[in-house]
Amino acid sequence: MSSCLPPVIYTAVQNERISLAVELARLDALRDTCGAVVQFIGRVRSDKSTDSEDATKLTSLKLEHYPGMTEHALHELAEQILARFDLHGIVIVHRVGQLLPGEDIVLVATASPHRKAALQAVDFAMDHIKSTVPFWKRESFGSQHHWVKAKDSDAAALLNWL
Amino acid sequence: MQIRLLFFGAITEALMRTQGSETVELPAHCTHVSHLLSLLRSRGEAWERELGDDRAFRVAVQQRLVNGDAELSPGCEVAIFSLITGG
Repeated sequence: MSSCLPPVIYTAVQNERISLAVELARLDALRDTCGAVVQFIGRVRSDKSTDSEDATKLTSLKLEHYPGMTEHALHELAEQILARFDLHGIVIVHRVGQLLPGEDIVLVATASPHRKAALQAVDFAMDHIKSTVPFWKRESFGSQHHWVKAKDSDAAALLNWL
Repeated sequence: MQIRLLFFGAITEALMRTQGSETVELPAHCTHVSHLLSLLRSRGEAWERELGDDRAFRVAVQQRLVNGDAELSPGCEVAIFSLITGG
């Protein structure tokens, strides 16, 4: 790492909506050294139910977490990413609780001297959040609820980083 | 010894649990995660099915992912949860 500033590392698991301005400001100290800042936002889609024949669209998404383990796993992931890529800063904020279609679920922001590391780090972060940080999604379609099943493609995505 | 047992994700409802946690008094021979799972499977049909070898679930002891060989200690926190679906 060429910067003499300490790396920025911030992770949070929260019920509150994500403020993009507040979270990106955490990387402001890196303006002179980092030519690339990448931000990814994951949002709730209003998809139709895949489990039933009715055409009801998703009405809400509940995100459950394991208090303590989830925060710890998210921070460890951020530390792992800082060590692996040429990054000077990383911010990961993940929401829990009841979310509505269109709301932001997760924000990952990375800062690096050059874009490739920042882009790759975001991709790595999302692949790992999907299947290694303890969060569970439950979709509601009106009065019908079901837990989201883990996808084989998400597990396979992890193998690409080995 | 006593342990605290937690459940997260779909498995909580599949086991027809109304609460996500309970305190369990373990018999003396129950010293490892594999013993605990055998004990839980004997609770009934849903438990036998959901905690079966063919089912994908995870176990954490003291908030660390473990396998059946992991040792249990008095007062430890054991979590049983469905596969993660974050992001």
